[in-house]
Amino acid sequence: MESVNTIITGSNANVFFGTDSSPLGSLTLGATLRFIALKHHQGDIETIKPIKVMTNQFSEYNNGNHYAQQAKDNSIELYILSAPRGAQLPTVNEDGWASLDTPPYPVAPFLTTASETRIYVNTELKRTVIFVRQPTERWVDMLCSSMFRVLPWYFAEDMSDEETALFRAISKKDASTFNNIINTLCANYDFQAARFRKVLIGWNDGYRKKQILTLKSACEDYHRNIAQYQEEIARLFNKLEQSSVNLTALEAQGDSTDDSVYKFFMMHKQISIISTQQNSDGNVMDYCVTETIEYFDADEFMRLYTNSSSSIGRAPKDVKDIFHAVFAGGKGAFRVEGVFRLVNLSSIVARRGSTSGQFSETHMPHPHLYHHACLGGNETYINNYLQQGNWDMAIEQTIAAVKNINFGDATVIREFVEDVQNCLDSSRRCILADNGKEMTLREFLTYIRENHENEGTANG
Amino acid sequence: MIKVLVKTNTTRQEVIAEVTETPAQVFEKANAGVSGAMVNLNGTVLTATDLNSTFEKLGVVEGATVNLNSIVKADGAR
Amino acid sequence: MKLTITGDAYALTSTIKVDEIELLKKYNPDALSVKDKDGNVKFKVSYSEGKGSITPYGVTFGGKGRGESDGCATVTGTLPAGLSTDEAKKYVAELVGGVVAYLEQLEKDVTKAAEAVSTQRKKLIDGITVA
Repeated sequence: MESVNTIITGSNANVFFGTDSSPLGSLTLGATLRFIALKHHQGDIETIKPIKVMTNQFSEYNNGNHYAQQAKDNSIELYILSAPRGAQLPTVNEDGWASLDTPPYPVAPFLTTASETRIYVNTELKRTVIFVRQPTERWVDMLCSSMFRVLPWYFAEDMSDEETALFRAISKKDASTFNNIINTLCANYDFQAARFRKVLIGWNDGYRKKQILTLKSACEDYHRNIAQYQEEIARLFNKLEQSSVNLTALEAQGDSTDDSVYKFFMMHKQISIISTQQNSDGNVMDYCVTETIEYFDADEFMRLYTNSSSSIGRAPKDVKDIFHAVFAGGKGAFRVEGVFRLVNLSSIVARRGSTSGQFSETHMPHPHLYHHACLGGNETYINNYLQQGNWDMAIEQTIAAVKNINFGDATVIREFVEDVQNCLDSSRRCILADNGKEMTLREFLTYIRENHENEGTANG
Repeated sequence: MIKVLVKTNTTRQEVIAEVTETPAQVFEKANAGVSGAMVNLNGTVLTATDLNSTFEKLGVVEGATVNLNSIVKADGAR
Repeated sequence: MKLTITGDAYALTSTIKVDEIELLKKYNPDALSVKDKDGNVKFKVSYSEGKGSITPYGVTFGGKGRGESDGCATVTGTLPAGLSTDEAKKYVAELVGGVVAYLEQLEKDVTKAAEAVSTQRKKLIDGITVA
């Protein structure tokens, strides 16, 4: 229909409704749909829901049900699909969809007079799908005049006089009456104001909601960052503590220690320097302590010796005899070596799995230190000495550590028993007998057994 | 006379002693305990007998300054 | 205190008597030492017959003087061979120089301390009644 010019398709209304004012290029169709939406809306104008209409060309590869589903999924109330050249109009046969091709509402045949049409309506879903050969202007006007059948849910009750007059005007192509009816209805509405109110209502809320989401996300990020920083702070506190200990030790040393270090190592015959180097840590020295094991709990040893389940108790006889002669009989002592790393006179650690290579013929690796690098109770004293600047006492504490064996540590004792067993037939002179002689384990066994016999003979 | 630098884990003292005195006597003068300790005289670990031997017998000469350290015997562990 | 050189030997004779040293060693050994303001002993004197020595830390007197120095604590030593008189004097001065001040201080105090001990002991002994 020509000369359609209404407020409802004006600029303010266009912004207000937010939909295409001329679907299929028809102001008549656009105005009619908006009129229906406006007429049947209840409540404030700002909350009016325009009728969603979509136009497109259907594909021969999709059936009618496909487009019905599309209308349902995308809230399309009026879906108008034109045909590609030569295509057959699809049908919709899903439950709930009724074809408007028979009385009492033969709308499809009516529209087909202008262009081949199939119409399917789902009153429950409030969706209408139309397949048309070609939506001409005439066809569109005819559609508009049939809209009360095409969108029946708006007209469940009786149609108003205005609407009746509108549809009649369309069918008569009476643009003037059409325009007047619509404009009369629109006169009650301030689309400009409504447009602003529609846009602005919820404006703050929209911003507020968006901000809430944004800030929530930011808060979560901050929480994550804080947790990471807290872990980092804890890690840095540990490093600070370590550095503070070292700093205290270094500051406590005072100046001019070069001479004293030299003298110290010269005096201590049981200490051998393995290597020295300068690296990013400063001055690093690996040294070896060779000593005899003399500090142990004899009672603890006897408890293990007499316990057939302990590693000593169930050891082979030769090994057991050696242990007894050393730790109960005082017939000799194990010669052992332990390797340590000294850094800048401010830290000392035992070196696990390390031997000097200089004493493999005369000393066994110290079991606590070689297998586990653990200084036990010695460690506290060493660190305290270093903090006080008493590096000499700290190094001497490592000597005490090498002279000690803890029979209360079952794992270490088991490993020591194994080491002795493995060394039984070696040429390693790792026993210092009570007669002052260095002996291999076999030689020591001979010595103690001969001694035992002699004692028996003497006593006998 | 000799100067003995006595060190334990709790104290650090200089004691002037005669070479005819013993390490045990010096520890006593310094109010330092040696029970359960490893005693080290200028790098040499002293036996129980050495503790009661004179400095002279232990090889310390007149006028010397010696270090006498008492190190706690702690237990090693895994 | 007196220093003498005779031939290749030197002798330091103190005004402190050996008896005083032995008395104080037994009853007030602190009186035989010089302490710093913190109470740390810096210098000591002692007596060990035949084993005198002079060290930076103290003097062990090894003998007793005779004549006008009768009973006084002495310590003797041997000079290195071939020294001139001047050199010998310098040698001895070097040896003793570090301890002179301490020794002189003790010489002032030891006699008094020994007398105090003697007086106290006499008083104690006099006070013992024998049944």
